[in-house]
Amino acid sequence: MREIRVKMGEIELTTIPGIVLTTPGLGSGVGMGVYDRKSRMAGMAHIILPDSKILQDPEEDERPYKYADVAVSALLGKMLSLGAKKENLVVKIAGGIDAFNFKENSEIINIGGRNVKAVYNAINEMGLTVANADTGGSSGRILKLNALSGAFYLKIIGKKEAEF
Amino acid sequence: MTKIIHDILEREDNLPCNFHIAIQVSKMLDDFNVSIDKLAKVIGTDQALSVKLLKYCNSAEYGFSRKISTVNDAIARLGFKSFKTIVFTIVSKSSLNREIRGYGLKSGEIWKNSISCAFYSRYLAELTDYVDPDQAFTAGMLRDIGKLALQEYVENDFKNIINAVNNEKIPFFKAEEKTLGVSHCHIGALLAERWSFPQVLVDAVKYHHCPEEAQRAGCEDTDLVNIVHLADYLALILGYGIGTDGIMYELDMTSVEGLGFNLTCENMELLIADIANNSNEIESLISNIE
Ligand SMILES: [Fe+2]
Repeated sequence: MREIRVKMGEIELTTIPGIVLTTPGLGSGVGMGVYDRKSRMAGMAHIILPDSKILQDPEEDERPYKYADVAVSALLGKMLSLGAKKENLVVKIAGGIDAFNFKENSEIINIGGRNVKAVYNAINEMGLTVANADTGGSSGRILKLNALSGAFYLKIIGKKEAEF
Repeated sequence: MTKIIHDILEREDNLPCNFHIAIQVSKMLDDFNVSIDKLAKVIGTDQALSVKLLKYCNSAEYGFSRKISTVNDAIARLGFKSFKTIVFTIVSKSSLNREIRGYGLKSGEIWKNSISCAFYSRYLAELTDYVDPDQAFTAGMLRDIGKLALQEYVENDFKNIINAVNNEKIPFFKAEEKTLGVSHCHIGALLAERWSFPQVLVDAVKYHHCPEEAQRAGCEDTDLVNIVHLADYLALILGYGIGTDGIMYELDMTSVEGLGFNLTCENMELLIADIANNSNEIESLISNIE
């Protein structure tokens, strides 16, 4: 079993059985795992920001997959173009901690919350739904997807890894 | 003094003493008249450090055409400016590259988290025209050093600490203070004092989660505290080495604004975007140091 670490701002796609895709250390970032049950294609995105439109020229960013709007449509689009079918896709997401802030208006630093919302929106825009999600709170997470079995695993830091 | 503080401070062997040499080197580098020979002599007293330094200089990263074979050579080629950073990075790996069970951190995680925080601190220092970006790098690297010493106590009392966080809605370091009588920030600062860190570094360690207290205590360099506070938060939310304390820490808006940031959702996101685009540098430093 070989692990491919999906670093922040990257997407990965594999059809090789025996590969486990993983997003290590999700804080306010969101990991999105996608699996096609028929073709056994597995994809993962490690998103850290909600929207590429904060940039004047989004095209200029050399790491565009850190934005939810770009990463979700790029990963799903790629999988569909390689023969995956929407009705066979399983999409699960994890991450996006809430800002731990009780004193003042924390909206500005609630990047996690904005990421989660943006990921949901982008997935729905592609005509898909989220099969399982574990978001919010203040614990770090690790999301894994086994390309052979299509099994998803979630580790919440401080707890045991569990099927997800 | 609580018993825990007393026990930790008495247990000399538990301190990552090789930081002494990094501090000594960094003090020497602050003196304009220091010579390469003098520096090389100090480095030379630590065999392991010398070897790692040479290996790093000869790694693909630098690609110097000529092989670097002496510490003098290494200093001359790297230059005084990057030398401080590299010495601290190498030294930190031997001290920090271990499992910190009490905080649920596997081997290597606190080191990577500290390197990220160091980079973000230097980045923010440059962005805000802080006088000494290398000092910011060091402060960011060392801010969680108290976790090394406090971890076993945190492990034993973890349930009580988490209950305090949840029931009283207080950040993790306050819950440490409440439950154990001391936080990782406080014990880190006491240790840093013992190792004769410069006072501004001691303050950065002590107040990295509560910059408003640095203000009240009349610290000399509150800019440095503010820089490390924001860098620490960014290193946590961007994920390298999140422990069982999660992100149970607040970001102090006043502190961030004190750095001259106009805080809006968009500015915060642009800052993170820029930092993420520079993450290759962190990855390559981590992979090039043995
Ligand atoms: Fe800390």
